[in-house]
Amino acid sequence: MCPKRRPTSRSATRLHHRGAATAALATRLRRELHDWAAFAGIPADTVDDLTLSSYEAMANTVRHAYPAGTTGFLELHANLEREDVVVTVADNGRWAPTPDERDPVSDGSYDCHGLRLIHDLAAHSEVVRDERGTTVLMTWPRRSTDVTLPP
Amino acid sequence: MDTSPPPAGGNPAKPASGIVTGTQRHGDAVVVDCTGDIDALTAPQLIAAVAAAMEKRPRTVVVDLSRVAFLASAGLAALVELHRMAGEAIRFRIVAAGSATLRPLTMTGLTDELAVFPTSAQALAT
Repeated sequence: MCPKRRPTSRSATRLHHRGAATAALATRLRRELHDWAAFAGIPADTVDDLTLSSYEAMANTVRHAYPAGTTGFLELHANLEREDVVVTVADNGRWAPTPDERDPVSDGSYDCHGLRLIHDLAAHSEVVRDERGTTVLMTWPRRSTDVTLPP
Repeated sequence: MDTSPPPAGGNPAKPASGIVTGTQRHGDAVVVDCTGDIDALTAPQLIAAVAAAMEKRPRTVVVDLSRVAFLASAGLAALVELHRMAGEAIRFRIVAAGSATLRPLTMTGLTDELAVFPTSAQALAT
């Protein structure tokens, strides 16, 4: 299925992959990211949120970044920092622009479900568009923020 | 992107990169059971399987996502599309039990737009 299986660079604190933006790569990286985050001891709910948000960002790259018939790159970074886990998804294309560049969720355009999930599921998220392309940056706390006191 | 494999019943042993769907008749209702992950790669398989079930014009179609472990926006868009295809003639029901499916459905407001039930028994009884 996957034409060239370029390996993902991976350590306990870092995951990185850059490859041709295809739907198959997005699916594969979603699974690798899930396993990496679970292994890193991130709470299960956060692992699920992080996996879905990151997949949505990658799917947006596959779907919207490059004109039909062309393929650019898709780059995924995940880093464990002291307090947070940070995921970025980058491409060098241009997503279909939205009327309100500051808040792409509110425009109600064709398929905003993906962006909405990214913004709602991430503790912090931002979409940066510039001349080099589009980068989605998402962060979550490494530890559960639920304050559950013992009974 | 238009290379989705044939739907339902084809290859039930195929796990990782696809969804497995099974169809059961309950009177004038049809339940389409899905197992696997629904993302941009597999959403066309979901559409194909449920569209095939709708061709027999049942009164009700239930899409059971109880065993779906991952539901991306491509899957949400597929459910919205299937709901539109069902139109007035077919009652379109979804079963979602775990957070993997309920969370994206709720967060995007689709639980208000689509008929979502916790079990297929409840979806069939309503």
